[in-house]
Amino acid sequence: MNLALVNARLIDPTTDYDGPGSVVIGDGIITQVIKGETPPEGSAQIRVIDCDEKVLIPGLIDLRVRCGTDTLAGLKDACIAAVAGGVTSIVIQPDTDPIADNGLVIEAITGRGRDLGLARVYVAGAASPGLRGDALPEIGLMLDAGAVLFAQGDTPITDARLMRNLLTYAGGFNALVAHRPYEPALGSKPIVHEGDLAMRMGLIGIPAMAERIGLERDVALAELTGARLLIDQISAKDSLEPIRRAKARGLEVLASVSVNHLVFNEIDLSDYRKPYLFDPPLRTEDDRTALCDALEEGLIDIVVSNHTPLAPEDRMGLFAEAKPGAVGLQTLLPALIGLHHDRDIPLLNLIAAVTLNPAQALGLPQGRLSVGAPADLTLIDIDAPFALREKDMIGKSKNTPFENRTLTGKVRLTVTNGRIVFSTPL
Amino acid sequence: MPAIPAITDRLFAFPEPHFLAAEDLDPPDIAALLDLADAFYEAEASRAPDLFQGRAVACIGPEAKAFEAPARRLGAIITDATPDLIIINHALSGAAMEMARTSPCSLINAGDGCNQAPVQAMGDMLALKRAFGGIDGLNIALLGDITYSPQARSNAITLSHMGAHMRLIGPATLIPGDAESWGCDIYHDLEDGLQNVDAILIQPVAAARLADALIPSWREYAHVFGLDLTRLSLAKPSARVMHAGPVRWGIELTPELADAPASLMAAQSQARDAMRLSVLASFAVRLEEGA
Repeated sequence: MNLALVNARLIDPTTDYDGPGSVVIGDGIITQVIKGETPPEGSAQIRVIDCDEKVLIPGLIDLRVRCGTDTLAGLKDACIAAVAGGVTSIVIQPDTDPIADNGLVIEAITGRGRDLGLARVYVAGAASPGLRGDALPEIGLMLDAGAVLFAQGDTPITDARLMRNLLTYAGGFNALVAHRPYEPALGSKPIVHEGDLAMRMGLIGIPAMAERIGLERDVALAELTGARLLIDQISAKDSLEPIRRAKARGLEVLASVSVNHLVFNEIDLSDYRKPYLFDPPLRTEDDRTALCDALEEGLIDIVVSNHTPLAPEDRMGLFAEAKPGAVGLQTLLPALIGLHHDRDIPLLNLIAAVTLNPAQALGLPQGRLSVGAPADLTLIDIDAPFALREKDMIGKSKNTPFENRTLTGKVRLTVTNGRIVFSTPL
Repeated sequence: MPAIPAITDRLFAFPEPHFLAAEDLDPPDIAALLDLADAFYEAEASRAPDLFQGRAVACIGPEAKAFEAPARRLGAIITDATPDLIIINHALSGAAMEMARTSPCSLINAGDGCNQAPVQAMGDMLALKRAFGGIDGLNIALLGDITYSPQARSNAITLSHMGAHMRLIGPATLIPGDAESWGCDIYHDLEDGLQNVDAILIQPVAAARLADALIPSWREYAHVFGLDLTRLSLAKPSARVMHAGPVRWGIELTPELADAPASLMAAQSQARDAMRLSVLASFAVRLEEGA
């Protein structure tokens, strides 16, 4: 089906364009991008949708998605939530069941994603067999099965020699390695920031320095090996300086942050509120604003949802025993739009961090409003407020920190591969 | 039976007191050694000249044992007591040079750790020269474990010395980071690396590389770096395959390649024998001249 999305406000990070325009798609690709108010040439074959000056962006790419313990069933929930949130490409973390450390598991997940036909589904191959952090992963076999990067989940590789070998070996394939910077010997449970608040709550906490120690090592090994490294989910202001240094030295280093760490801070988990338990932990307001500034500046390249559905039993019990994580595919884009409204971060910068930048990191052709690019598009009303209620949450897992909060920015239309996969009345 | 003239005519004294590394030889010396080895390659085993005349040769270390039979053929007595020539194979890099510093007699390096194995590399060169008529201008790929292979280092240096264009193919974990400074092109993609190649010298990957987490698994190694007829077809139609041994069949290369016309492995083995004779003979001449 050919489709013309006319009378929109286009935001295209490829050309830094933010202005009126239209996009025409056919056969699953973008065939025309018109910047300006002139509508495309009419044709009886084309279905025209008037976007009513709402914002049209490339479909979002979320590099950090989990789909729960029942992987294939959870994948369906994740895909439905994704397109409802304007996300058209998701990268499943390797801590699936069974673990995605071989081609068969990767092919099973991506194949299921293709069958669902909602969002494009990719898999991050395990950065070590069984995510045990004690041997090299079969990168060559997993790449041929479709792996787009290699990640270690939330358990870092502590052995510096193995990390070096991993980066060197991956470098031979020009593959991207994602690694959470973290020195686990400085960890504790529950996962909260070490500081005044934790002390007053009677909790031990994890210092921001645990992240910086891991990060300094990983950046040094990236320099030693020349490999491509994604510093996965930073949470602290102290982590920004080593990243700045690494980029200034020309290392192929990228950094990501979860949207939760841009929106919330440790105060949100006072009174032992479990929905605000994250790994890494929410840190101080000073950390949060520094991360927002770093995103605006481009020091942080990528924003992820870190979508983590938890089983109901994981949400029961006491705070100190609860599992960290929250679902986030549905709220990623509205939360980013909120940062535009609250902190005046330009939409172009915010959108690039969930479209063009992750696409470039993975070498994918989508994530841009360019002729010939895959027709993955999201139309959003950036001024429409809504309160997120549990009944609006898609999927079995409802663990969200945004419940009963007012968000601004409603997804109106999601197009994957030229097909409308989600829509609400304009 | 008298020695055949082709050998006696080509005899020369080894130009250095020791043969420790590929760099010890200049191109004219390499050419002389190849000519002599060529004569040994053609000659029947019984017609080797009695060059050592009962002098004592010590063969120390597993790889050095391969020098015992050729040394005997040249009239040497194999003994560790007060030798006139030592063949040394040692597990530690640098062992050959360190021993040479205090050795009262000449020393031939039959492989020291990950450093060099110059005689084996010269043998490989002989096989290539016999197959192609010369080395100059050939595109030669070393495939496999370069970092931990003493032969690979010697192969790369001697062959590029003689005008070959060298490329190293293997996992990034098994190719030294500074290998480009040897003048070699580096490939981590086998299919890219095989384009336009005349000869492939497979360098064995030891099981220790797996234990040390330098490769993930044998099935991955076979998938990414295993040579088979299909992949070989990416090289020149005339391309030949050699293996520094011992072969890990089905992983480093498929068994179909053993008997394929492209295989140079039988000739390689014979060429290495001939090169051992040739190097030993040139040291025997050196001993004779010094005596």
